[in-house]
Amino acid sequence: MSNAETDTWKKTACMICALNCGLEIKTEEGRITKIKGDKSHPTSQGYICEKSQRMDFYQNGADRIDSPKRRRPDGSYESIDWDTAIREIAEKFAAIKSKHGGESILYYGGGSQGNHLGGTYADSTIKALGIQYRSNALAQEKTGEAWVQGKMMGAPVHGDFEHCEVAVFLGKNPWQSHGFARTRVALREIENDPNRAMIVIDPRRTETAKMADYHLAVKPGTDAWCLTALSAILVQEGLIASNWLAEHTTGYEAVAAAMKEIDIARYAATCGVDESLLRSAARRIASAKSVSMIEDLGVQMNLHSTLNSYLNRLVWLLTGNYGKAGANNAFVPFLNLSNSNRSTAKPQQNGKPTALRKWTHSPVTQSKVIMGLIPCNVIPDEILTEHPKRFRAMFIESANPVHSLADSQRMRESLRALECSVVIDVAMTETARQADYVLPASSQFEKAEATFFNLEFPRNGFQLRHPHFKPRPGTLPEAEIHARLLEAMGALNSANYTFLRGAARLGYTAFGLAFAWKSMRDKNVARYAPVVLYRTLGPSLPPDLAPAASLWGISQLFVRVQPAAARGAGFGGPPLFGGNRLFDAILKSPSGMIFAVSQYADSWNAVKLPEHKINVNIKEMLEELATIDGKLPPHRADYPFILSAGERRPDTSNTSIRNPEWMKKGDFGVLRIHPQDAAQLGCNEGDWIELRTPRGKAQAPIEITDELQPGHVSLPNGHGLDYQRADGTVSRRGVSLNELTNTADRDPFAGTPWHKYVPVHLERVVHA
Amino acid sequence: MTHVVTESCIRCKYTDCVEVCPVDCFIEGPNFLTIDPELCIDCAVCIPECPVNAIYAEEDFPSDQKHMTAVNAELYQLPGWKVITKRKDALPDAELWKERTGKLSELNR
Repeated sequence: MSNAETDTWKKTACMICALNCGLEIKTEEGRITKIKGDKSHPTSQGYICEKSQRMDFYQNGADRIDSPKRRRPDGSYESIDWDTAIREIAEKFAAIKSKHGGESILYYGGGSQGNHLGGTYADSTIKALGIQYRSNALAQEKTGEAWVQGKMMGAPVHGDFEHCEVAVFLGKNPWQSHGFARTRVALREIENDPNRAMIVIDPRRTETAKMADYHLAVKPGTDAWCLTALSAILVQEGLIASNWLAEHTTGYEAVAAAMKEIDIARYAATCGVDESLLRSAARRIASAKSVSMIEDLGVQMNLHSTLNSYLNRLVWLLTGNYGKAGANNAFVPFLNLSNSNRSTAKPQQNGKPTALRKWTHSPVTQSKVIMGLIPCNVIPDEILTEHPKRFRAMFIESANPVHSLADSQRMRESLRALECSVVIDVAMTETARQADYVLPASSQFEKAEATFFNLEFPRNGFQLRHPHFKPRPGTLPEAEIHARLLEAMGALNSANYTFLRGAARLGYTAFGLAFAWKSMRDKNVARYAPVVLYRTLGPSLPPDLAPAASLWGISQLFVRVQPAAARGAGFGGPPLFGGNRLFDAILKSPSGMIFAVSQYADSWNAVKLPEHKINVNIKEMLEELATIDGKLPPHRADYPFILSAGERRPDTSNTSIRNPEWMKKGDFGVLRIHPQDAAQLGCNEGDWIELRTPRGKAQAPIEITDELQPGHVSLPNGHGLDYQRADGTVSRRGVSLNELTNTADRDPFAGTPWHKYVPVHLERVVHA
Repeated sequence: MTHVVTESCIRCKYTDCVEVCPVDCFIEGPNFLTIDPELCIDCAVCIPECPVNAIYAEEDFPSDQKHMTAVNAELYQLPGWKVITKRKDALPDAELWKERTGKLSELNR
């Protein structure tokens, strides 16, 4: 091949899941032609899975957009120039802000998988518009867990599956959904080591469950009974780490009292797991030198999800599995994505009552704000109402709520009910098709890009990905879009920039000193720091890396907030210099680099409760536990099957990969069903079934498998996109799950949806 | 669950596959490559690399190659068979052998 472009391997990363494994790619005439794992990547070390091969289906999707678009009254879109789009959006949002306040504007999203760098600039737009409420997909997954974490320790944790003696997977099939570095390799190592063990709590016999030593195949929706039984066995059999609990935790007495009351045999029967199997699993956990446990959507999008997050933590805390090798530890994030935990983290020192925090609950439904996010499931209720505090506008960035949030139909209605809506995205998504304005972003391979899902411990890595294609004409990186919006709103202008631009030419030290000086005197420089950095430091950075400018500010913050971890990674010393060296290392490490090296003892410093002790007694959760026997999973005669909506399979990607053509073999989007159920419905393999819920219906071919329990069926995640091909035709492959789901089916604490427990009616489709 | 190298590789040994393997599970013998089934993670990245289409997922086997699962599983543990991670030249008469079938008798352990 003569093309020089083809012969060079270039560093980037996969954008399918939150691991973002390092990749090396070859490109040719605008296409990604070859992909392999990057052995120099600090955390993935060359590891990839088959899903990494799909990058070009994203890069060259036929429905990418290359001009700002404005909706016409008939629902079609016209292309407009950037100046017009920015001016009109700035005017309309400013008018809504002045009439109803910034709290009437909801910011949703902030980055798709692997696409987090642009979101750092959204902070400036959010402040300029006075936006007080945000939401994103974390608020339908992780907010219950975050709330529990805040109450128990005030620090997010991550397991060490490379070194643990026992791994526990709760509502998670890591073989498919990954979740920790080099996942399949780590799973194979545990499976093949007779001294280690794997415990899987999952109603389905997943790929991971087949590798497990203990598969606790709970009945759908009964995880809480299984987890309670495990803790009750630990307490009742005297298997707890008593000394460790006394030294490191508070509140154990209340937990012990609750667990002593539990009738283990009855809880085993309720969750459908043999009592002796539960007891052996609990004993295996108690006897292990180290246990790591991870929960995921199987429980987080299920009945009792917040309670499950609490019960999960009890299992490993009762056995002393925190703050040591092979156990859960408090990883050090580069950028903290959660604004939660403030109330528990910082008790008032002076005895005065804490000032009431504002914006702690959503304006209409009064739902709890966790991690700074309102629950995804209440968004339509916050819009489709006459309530005076309803949301009037939405700013949606690199997210597709119409497809990915419960009840797509109501989400579409909600978007159309707003006075103004803007979507930033690379493609004409289902959400974009409801927006008043659509702004085309450059792809993740056309601009500097990064992920902030950096969860490893004790060595945590970060990768700034360099662009490998010129931006598609008409598209802009998010940094530029936000900068133009701020300038159009009059929040920033050249008077804020000139001095700093001059300083930037003299190097990071001069820039750092100038930035400190200027931001003390110019409140807009401090307030809109990300965009100011982009406009001032950005032009002095290597070509194409201007959107990395916000990382200078994040580097400076990081070395101040996490001095020990920064020092461990070689970024100690006076903060300005440590921060500058960190930023410089980021720019010069295309495969990624280690930004934090922690000690296990640091996990204790991360516990933000008095004396760094973990609180194992969350009163609300123990009260909830006392009532769960009255909250058994509901069974409806008219919707007798339970659909697990959103299974991760080889044939799922994420919705950034809109073109389904990557699926070259096998069956796409099948409904998995137990042989007994298929027989009862009169169905053979491949027959089509209609699913019906109170909210909608859909059809899918079936795959008969005894991996599922009778009465339990599953459909894959992320299918059913309306993909517009180059010839203009729109095709939909697979089921768009949220046409079936209901926003009211959600966790009472965190508002997270019950997508893994969707009662459905099934019927064989008789084709004419 | 593993991927398997079929007879097409025998006396060719192109080694394009080893460059892309994320877990270094290719094992090299005198005139054949095999896959360590304990290490393979079914990522399938190697499949399109092979110029003679020798690599298959277990469930996609051509019907006349089913025996190769056992052959792979036997060979990878043999003394002298070593992990290979860097591509090298194919065997000198690879071109002659690439179209042939039924090559199992040619396999050198």
